[in-house]
Amino acid sequence: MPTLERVMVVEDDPDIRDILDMSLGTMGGFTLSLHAEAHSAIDAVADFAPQLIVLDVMLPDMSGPEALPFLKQRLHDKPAVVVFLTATAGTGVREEFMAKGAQVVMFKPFDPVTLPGLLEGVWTQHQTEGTPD
Amino acid sequence: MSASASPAAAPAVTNTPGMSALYQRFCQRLPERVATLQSGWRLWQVSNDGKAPDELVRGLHSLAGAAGLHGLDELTHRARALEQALLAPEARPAAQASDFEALIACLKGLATAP
Repeated sequence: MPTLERVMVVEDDPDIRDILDMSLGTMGGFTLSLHAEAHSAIDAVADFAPQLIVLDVMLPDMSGPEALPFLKQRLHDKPAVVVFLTATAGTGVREEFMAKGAQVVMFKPFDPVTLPGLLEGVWTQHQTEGTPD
Repeated sequence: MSASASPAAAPAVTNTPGMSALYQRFCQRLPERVATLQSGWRLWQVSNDGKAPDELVRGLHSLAGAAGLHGLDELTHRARALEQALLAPEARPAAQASDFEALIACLKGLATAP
């Protein structure tokens, strides 16, 4: 089974993006494609071909759920596991975002030390259970 | 929420390798966050429909997320509570002014802390 190597991160806040860079790039050893806006990620996604996408829900140009169909469309036959990242907690939030196409919903604040292992586990689980649409 | 502006508690996660440097960068960017929030607040004060500007709500939302990652629980709570208050249909600047000023004072205190 292939290992998780390429992760796309779409997060508009520079401080949170820096922490994700450190967590997933420096500590996790993944190859990252970092984006502050959805449009930039959509433009880059086909060439980068991420195996997993960490997608912030609240972005300046469009929401994460709005961006997801465009990202999937550009990926064609190279589907990625999608993790929505949100600071909005509450009843039904996870179910709402799962229904909008995420395989996993992750809440802020997350632990930057354990995040790489968590995402590897998510990715491995989805490889075992079947590749997402 | 109290309108007092006590300094934020010391962050809990800055001893994680690499986090200390990122915390310093977070503090260096605080004046930019303050400017964005104050700009959004001024827009809200002169708006006709009473709805809090996206710039202001988004700024509070981002601040809460970033502060939470640095273990700044009090700041996270203040930003999140204000964001929620602003989203209420009956929200008006005058009613939230003391909480907003307390938040700004908290941010300025962190930005100038040694």
